Amino acid sequence: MGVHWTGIVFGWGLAISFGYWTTDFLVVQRVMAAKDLRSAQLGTVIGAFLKMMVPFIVILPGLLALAVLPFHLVPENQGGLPNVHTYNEALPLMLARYCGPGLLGLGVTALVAGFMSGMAGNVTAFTTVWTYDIYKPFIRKQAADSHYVSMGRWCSLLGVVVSIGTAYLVMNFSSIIVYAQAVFVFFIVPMFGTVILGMLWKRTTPAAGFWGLLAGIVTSFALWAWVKVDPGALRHVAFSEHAKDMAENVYRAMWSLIVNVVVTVAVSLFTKPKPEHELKGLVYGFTELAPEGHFPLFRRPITWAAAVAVGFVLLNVLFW
Amino acid sequence: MRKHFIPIWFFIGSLLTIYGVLILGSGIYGLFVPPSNPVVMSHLHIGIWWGSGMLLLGLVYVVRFRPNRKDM
Repeated sequence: MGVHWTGIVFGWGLAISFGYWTTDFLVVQRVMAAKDLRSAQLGTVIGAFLKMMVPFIVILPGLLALAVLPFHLVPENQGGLPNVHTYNEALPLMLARYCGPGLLGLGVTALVAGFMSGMAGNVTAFTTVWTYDIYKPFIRKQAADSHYVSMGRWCSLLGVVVSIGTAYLVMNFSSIIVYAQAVFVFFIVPMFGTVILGMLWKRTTPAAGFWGLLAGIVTSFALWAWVKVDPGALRHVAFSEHAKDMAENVYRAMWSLIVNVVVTVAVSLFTKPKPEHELKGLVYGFTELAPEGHFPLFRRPITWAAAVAVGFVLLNVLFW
Repeated sequence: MRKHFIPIWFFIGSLLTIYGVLILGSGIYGLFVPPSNPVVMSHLHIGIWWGSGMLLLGLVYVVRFRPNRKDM
């Protein structure tokens, strides 16, 4: 991929991974639905265990496909010809090759279930953000609940249609993961900078949050457009002449996070902070957390978080 | 009211049991009537092993979390 270690550690590890765990709606909506703080924390920690297995679930079958399939796989933008298969078809091809009737159905069911789960979460996010955060406060403030429910339903339908439409965009990218990361870096990473500063630094102001987020998103889009117009620019963005699509995403994440944090801090220092009593429950330092001392050690989230941290270090040492 | 709830694990066990029966069934059928276009490594009869595993796991969940169990 032509990614320098700074990209792996700060772009991938800090900006993209932390961004995913703190601001991605699929994670956040599950945390918000938890019955208490401990369940929310444990849910995230259990998710982290599963996430660490992703290389074995996603990458290993891909590598095996490369080794055992009797034909050469090509990137998505070179596909479309008869008897030419792309990287995205690796898993279905492996299923068809090794799984007979019965098991093949189970494999396809699992794939469809995975798509549906992700799709349902994202459409819910789209519906919620539009209805609750845009339509209700700005367009129609006073309406019956039934009206908002109806708006949400229509929005879900629209979300599905838009999702199908965006699927065609993937054809312009070498694989789904490159496309997903590209979109991810436009919004999620700048959002992470704003959320983490707002959560941990009491001095952050609303104006700083807005301008920092905007600056991060604009930076991300600008870098993407720069590389799109002049592919040679990638070596400046990603510090390497060998950089590929994914290296661009990783470094774009790093740059947009840096811009976001710098702008947020700068604007905060020049604007009036909110009084402390308004920050209760919002900023970590002013929020009372339920004590966990009465739980045995193995039922405390911190114990399992430490286990995740150890696993993370071991995997990194093993596969560095 | 709470005692009338059916645990979600019972549904999960039921699903695993149904899938297990279907996969094991098709695996056993394939043992006696081999398909004309067999998949790679079909001699391992993975359907039988996988189906048996799912069926056993499903039955464990169904029995363990069956509704109206005394200690639940």
